[in-house]
Amino acid sequence: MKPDRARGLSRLFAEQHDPLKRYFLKRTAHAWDAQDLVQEVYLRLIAADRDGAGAIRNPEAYLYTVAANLLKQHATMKQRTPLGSDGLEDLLDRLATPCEAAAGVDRELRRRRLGELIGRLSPKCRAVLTLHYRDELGYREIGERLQISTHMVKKYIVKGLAICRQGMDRYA
Amino acid sequence: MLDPQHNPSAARARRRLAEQAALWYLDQREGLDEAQRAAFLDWLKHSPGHVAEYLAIARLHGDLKAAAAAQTLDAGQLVALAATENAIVPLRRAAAPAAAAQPAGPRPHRQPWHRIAAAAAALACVAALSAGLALRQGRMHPMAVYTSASSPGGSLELADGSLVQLDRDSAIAVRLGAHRRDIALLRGRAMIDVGHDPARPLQVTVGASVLRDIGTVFEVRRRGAGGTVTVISGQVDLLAPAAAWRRLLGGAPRIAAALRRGEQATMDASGRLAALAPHADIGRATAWLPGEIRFRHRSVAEVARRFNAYTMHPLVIENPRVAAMRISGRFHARDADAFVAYLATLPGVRVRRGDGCIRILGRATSDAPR
Repeated sequence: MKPDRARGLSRLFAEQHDPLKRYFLKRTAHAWDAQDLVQEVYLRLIAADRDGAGAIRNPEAYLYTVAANLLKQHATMKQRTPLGSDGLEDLLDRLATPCEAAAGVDRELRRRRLGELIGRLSPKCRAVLTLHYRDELGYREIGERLQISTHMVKKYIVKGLAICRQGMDRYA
Repeated sequence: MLDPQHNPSAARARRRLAEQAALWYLDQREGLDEAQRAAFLDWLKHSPGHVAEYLAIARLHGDLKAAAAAQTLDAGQLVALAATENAIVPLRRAAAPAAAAQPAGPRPHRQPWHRIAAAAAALACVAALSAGLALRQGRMHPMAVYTSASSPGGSLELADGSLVQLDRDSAIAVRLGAHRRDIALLRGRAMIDVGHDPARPLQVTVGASVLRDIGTVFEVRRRGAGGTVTVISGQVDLLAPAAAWRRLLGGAPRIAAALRRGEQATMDASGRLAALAPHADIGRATAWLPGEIRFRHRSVAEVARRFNAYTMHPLVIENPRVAAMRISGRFHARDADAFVAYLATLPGVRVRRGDGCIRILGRATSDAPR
């Protein structure tokens, strides 16, 4: 055992300790926040629906509203600046990231990774997704260009979204 | 992170969940009617996992425009590329020959075969094969890509009668044209037992190397940018790298090395011969093949070919009656002698050794008129 090497390692660890700690804190906070919020959103959804049939006219809007309110409370509790005016995108970011700065960084990284995932999709899936989201073509138009039904176009989008979703999960 | 690989059914369940969430998301954008809204709410209420998945898809969706904008191919290129996906045909075992029409009995055992048409692999071989083929033949023949997963791939019989075994994480692209047959080893290893068809020579591309096969069994392996080929039996020609251009112009390919049984050639990234071992370790070259050969109700000819991947002394079934006999059993793959001994017990079968092979003949008396 060489004492020099051991000392070197411990020094290295001491130097790296803070960044490492920050990294893990960020990761755990990230996971905890998102999970906790989803749980809370879910419970409120159940409770609201139990209050009376048809109480929730628009489930999606309800989800976002509840999530936004919870985030607002959460931010106050943690003395963070409340939700900005970015709206939905910001809200969804915040569901997964603990603070605004991290949200910005993550967003850029996420988009780059998502771009890579799209590039790795099967040729048809990739074409459909890109034509739809980049070139803003409708299902029918894409179907005509690829000589597939509009129904299949939608299927490819669903498939592509699911593959990307799973792929992004692997990065987290 | 490794969890989806280790638990494929959990990964499938997650994929299904993601697809459901994505479908609800798209339906929501198109507008839901009353019944759909209720169904959507029920789906959300099923579990927090559904809520989380829906929110995750929503977030992903928010990133999609920006992410899709980074795609560099234009619409025309994407459409052209998508059209190549049709060329990937699903794996089908070669149709049983008419003689194989069987009496009622157990269906032949089918080898498990992982077939994921890998898009990336497909692209790689489109690049590798299409230019030359399209020019020469005027029209494209469908190309099939076969990929094995993390478990060793089973054996695969191509429509021309060639038999291919893939190691784990391996992929080949196959194109069987009217005048020639092409196999590209995209990654990993493959054992190839070439179906005899003198009218359609078979060429195997490994990296930049092109091998031409003359009725033989050989193992090919990708190694970095180069590769190796080990000839188990028969002969394989390694073509000179320039041959690819000459072939396009119609000239005869130049043979860089004629590889014989037991030889192992190593090719470098440019496709040139880098090393040639005259006495390859066949046991090592075939170590990845399954240790056991099992078959149910298969023809003797078919089973014998499976043993031939392991031995430099191939079994040659000369008698067509014997070749067509249906047998079942389970043997150590590296003990072809046990199989030969078994064959010798079958009625009307004779075994003759010599000439570097083991010949299986019919009994002279049974063929002669009484």
